[in-house]
Amino acid sequence: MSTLPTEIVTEIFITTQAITYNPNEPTSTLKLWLPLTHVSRHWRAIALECPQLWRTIYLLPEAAVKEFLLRSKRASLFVQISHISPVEDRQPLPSLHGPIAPILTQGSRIQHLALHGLDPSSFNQVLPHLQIASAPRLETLSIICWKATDHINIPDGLDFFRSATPNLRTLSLCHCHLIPQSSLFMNDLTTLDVAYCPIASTTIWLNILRQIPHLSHLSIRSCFTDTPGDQYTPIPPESDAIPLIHLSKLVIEGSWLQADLDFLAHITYPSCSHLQFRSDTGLSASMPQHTVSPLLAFLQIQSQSRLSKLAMQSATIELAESHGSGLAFAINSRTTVALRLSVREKSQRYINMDIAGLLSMDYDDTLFAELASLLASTTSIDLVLACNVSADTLRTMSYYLPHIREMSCTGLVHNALFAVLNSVRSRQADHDPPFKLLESVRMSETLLGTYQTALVDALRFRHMIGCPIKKLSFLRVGHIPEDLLPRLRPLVDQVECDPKSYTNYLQVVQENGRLCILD
Amino acid sequence: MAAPATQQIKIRCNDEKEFTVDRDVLERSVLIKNMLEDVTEQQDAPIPLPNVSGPVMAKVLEYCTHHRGEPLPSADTEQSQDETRKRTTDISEWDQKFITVDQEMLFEIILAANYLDIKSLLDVGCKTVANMIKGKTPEEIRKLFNIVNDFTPEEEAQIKKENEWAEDR
Repeated sequence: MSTLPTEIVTEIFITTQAITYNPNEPTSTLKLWLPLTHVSRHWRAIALECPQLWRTIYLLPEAAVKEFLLRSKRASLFVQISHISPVEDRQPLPSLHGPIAPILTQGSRIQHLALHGLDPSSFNQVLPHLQIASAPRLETLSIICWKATDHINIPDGLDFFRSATPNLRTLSLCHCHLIPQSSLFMNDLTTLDVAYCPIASTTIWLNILRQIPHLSHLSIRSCFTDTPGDQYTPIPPESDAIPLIHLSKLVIEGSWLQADLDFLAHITYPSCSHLQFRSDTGLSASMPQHTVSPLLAFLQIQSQSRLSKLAMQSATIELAESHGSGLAFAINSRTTVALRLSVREKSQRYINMDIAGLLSMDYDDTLFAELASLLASTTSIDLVLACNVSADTLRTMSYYLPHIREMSCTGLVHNALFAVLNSVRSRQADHDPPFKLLESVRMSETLLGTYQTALVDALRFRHMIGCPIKKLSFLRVGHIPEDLLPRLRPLVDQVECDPKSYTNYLQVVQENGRLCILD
Repeated sequence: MAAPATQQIKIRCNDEKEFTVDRDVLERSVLIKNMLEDVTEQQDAPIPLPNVSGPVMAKVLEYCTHHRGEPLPSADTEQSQDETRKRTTDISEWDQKFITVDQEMLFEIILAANYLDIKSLLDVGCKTVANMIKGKTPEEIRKLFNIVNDFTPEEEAQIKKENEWAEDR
């Protein structure tokens, strides 16, 4: 190291600090890089002359915070206050007064301010400082309260940083009762991410957006106060739509469907390439046609735009059945689609399948046929809690998914899993055996229990007909008895398993190098 | 139609070792790229690189050849992007294997990357050293890099105080 010039040693120090960055564990982070300043006088001199090394300020003891502020000289500050309550021992949180005050008196230097995990009383300690300081360099402000029960109430009209935040570009709020328009210099925001801030109706949120024409990322989750019922007044369709011409990513989730749709209908976003839409309440089996139609119309409109990723949740099986063509139309005209559709079955249990870009569900194959071109190149399938997927459905799926090589099953999936594994038995005249190419299976969050014999049988059959499973992974599958591995050994090339799933797994590892223990 | 032949450039290291290399490989180095852009006529004389030895240049060229064609970071890369890049601990498998060399060679590669202005290679080198430092005690770091503890008792006292910052509360 003595051969390296000071500027490179400085670079190495900054890199060491950067790669250890973990804002949620400031003291642990400090332990990983602070020792480098205690090696020699030369190293220490370099470290103390490097403001960049000290400009990331965590919630540390007051003396440390003051020293960091001093050593960071005039560099812009990255302030991350994560004040998470130690739930397990129920200790009271340390007071924020000490460390916060000196940080926020440096408001003119703050470039990034994140206040995470604050409860209302902690936030009240911070609030006066936010009012006093001005923050001309502030680019990012993030206020997140972890617990839904502890919404932070920010007084209406609070003058954040004296409204002197001309460089503010990113605002993130979670569990805050704050109407952003009231107190922040918003016009130049490019990213707005608000979650669980049910503070205003759809109409008011639209008015807020009118003030932020440069947005490129917009995420609104569970923020509209509108609810189903007579009191809801739909926004007149003739209202001017708000042009968000720079918007590339849009996430609308968690509110009432009609409000979400009204909101979407009143903004335009021609450059959007990523749309995520999920409505917690709204789509249901009993939903009248006039409510469902706007969603489908919306999907179809989007299909004509530049959308490259669409994530959608919450639709019922009935909706998909009756509007399969609409969905297919919307999806087919795009080149890449990541669609995740949670489907509530009639039994009220959820079938939730990601098929590397498309869905399947327990009904006839009309939709699959319409989506055949998209499904043809899919190579992996993820069955989540698919306890009731019938063998017929899987067989239908398999004809449209000829290249599936990997399957992951989460939850109580025995029936689905064995249906897939055994489907190679059901060869039809003009088709290859279903799931013929399948070679990797991962089971997680389930109990294998007495199904081990069925598993071995299925694997043996596949092996016998030349369609072997080459890799089998178990993750949290309850206790796997010791004698299972010797039975799997001749049938599967590689078995992975987490320690908790295997009885005496260490012994098994010693006996068989092919068993990989997952972390 | 045949593809145009890639221009070959000669370089000469400080130990007189010469290399003839495709221009696009050499242009991973901003220093050489600028040199080549400044020269309008084709020159046969090799470009002298007085700060790099042959064996180190051979390693650097191995890196540049592997990464040829990848986009170069622009000069006006935003500081925030720079921060994000530093915070990424990942070094690709190939780069990791490439940089698994003895300490002396590691520092020589870093020096060469700095001189030749190859940002991505400098990054790999710095991250490798940073990973060696991360989580070690001062004594372990001294031993690793053969550094003498030359602190005065007063400085030791100050350091002891700083250690309290990182104590679990």
